[in-house]
Amino acid sequence: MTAVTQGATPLVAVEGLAVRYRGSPEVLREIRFSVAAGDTVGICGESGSGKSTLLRALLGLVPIARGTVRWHGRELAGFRAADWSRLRRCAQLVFQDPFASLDPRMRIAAILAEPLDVHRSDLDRPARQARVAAQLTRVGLDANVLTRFPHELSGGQCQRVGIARAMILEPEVLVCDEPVSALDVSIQAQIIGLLATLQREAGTTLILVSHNLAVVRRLCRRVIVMQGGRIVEEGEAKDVLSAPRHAYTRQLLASIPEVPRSPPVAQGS
Amino acid sequence: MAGSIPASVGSERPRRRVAVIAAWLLVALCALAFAAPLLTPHAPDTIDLANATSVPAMQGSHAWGTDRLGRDVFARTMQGLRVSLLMGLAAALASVAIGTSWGAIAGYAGGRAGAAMMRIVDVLYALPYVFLVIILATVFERGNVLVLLIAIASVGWLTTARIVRGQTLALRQREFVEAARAMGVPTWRILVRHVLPNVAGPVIAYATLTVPQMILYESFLSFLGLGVQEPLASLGSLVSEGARDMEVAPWLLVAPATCLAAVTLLLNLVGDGLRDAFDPRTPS
Repeated sequence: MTAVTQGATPLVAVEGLAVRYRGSPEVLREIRFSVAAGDTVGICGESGSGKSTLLRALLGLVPIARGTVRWHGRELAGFRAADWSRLRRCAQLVFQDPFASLDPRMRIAAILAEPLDVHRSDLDRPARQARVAAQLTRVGLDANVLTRFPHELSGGQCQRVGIARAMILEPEVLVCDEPVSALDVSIQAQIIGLLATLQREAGTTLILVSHNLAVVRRLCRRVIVMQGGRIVEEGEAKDVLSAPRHAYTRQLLASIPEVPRSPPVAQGS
Repeated sequence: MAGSIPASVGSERPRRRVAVIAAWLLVALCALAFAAPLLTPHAPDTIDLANATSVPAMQGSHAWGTDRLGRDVFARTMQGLRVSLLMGLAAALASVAIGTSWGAIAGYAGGRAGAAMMRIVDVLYALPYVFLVIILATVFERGNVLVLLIAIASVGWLTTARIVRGQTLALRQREFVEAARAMGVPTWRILVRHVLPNVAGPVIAYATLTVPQMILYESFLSFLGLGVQEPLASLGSLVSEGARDMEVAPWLLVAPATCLAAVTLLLNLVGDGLRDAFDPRTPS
């Protein structure tokens, strides 16, 4: 996986990617970009621009029509069972809807232990429980949530559980699909702060999809702007968001009235 | 119509009470069936020709009368009830187990494999049930309890499979299942840990409705003479016997028929109550 061929192999590289769902035109066309290990990349665009599909294609969760996705230089199409297992372990996903992404019939303790049950069978039960407890503290939740069910928690608490579940395997890359857009504005800032702290502490690569440019500016060094299944602009977040070259990016920026000037602080308190 | 109360709201609480009362009556009936050997000195298969076809009477030891071989009707009916309950329960368990696995796998696999699995269900649905059972009963030993169970369960699982498949198809689209996939949870584990617990509610409710259905299937077969054989009795075979002597000894029909009606009615009431309780759309 870490074989260095020419210079540093990017963590993930996408080339000429196209995705189509059955009976519909292509949702993604000619997507090309790469993400270096440790980088933070935001993918912006209005709803229907293919952002979420792109994330799922990266992780091999939707079938690829054309093009390639390479993780550490290895193509997704040629993955064997062991490669899949490694990808599922080192790339973790945080979802938009914090309630829907947690099994309503499982207690929080079981939800958080599941990644360890699947990937860390080398750890014994007390060691797994210790990790669950440590992770809970890291995301700012109290130990008494462990025995609760998702519907007994608030949206913000559920999203913290979702983030804890994603971080518990100490992944190389955290993939977030609109991680705050289902939350109250006041909770959004807390969750963004939490993601920023976790990313900084662990040096995790972050790939984040959001239609909210303020979120992207706060969390990401680079930004990719998508429209109609294509990438229309790409660059450092501070350049793209302060001096957009593409008309669509300008339009996107203008359509969000509360994008703060500098310093970039998330909306709400 | 702001402020008006929907008509259904008022009817919910009595319905739940009916289900609870039905559950208790069912428990009492089952207790009676299994305690019956302690309550009567007569064994269900003791022939006593001296006391043949005696009329039910409070005095004397045959409170529910005797049949034309002098066997105690109470003891025989209770034995029939036990056999019917156990057969119904076993057949329902078997069909729920088969139907749930089949439906969950078909729903989760989706695509061609899932469609093929459901076409098999459609074909079995289309086969006439009695025809299938008669073939099974002729090919194998007639009245063999195991063959009878297989025959009943082989039609019983079809509806469960359809229900579970529908639920699984819906669950597969849910984010928590996608989360499990993205996390690398193996498919069998997704089915066992995430899909099955989330379909358990409707399945349990439906299973309760399956038991009386299975009892009726079994009774129907026994009525036709394809079910349990003498000296063993089920409610169906007793009704069949009683119907023969209806003019001279109506009590031979009344006792098992009443029991059959009571047990299926109670099970249906309990099943309806459970279905309502598990249905999130039911106002509570």
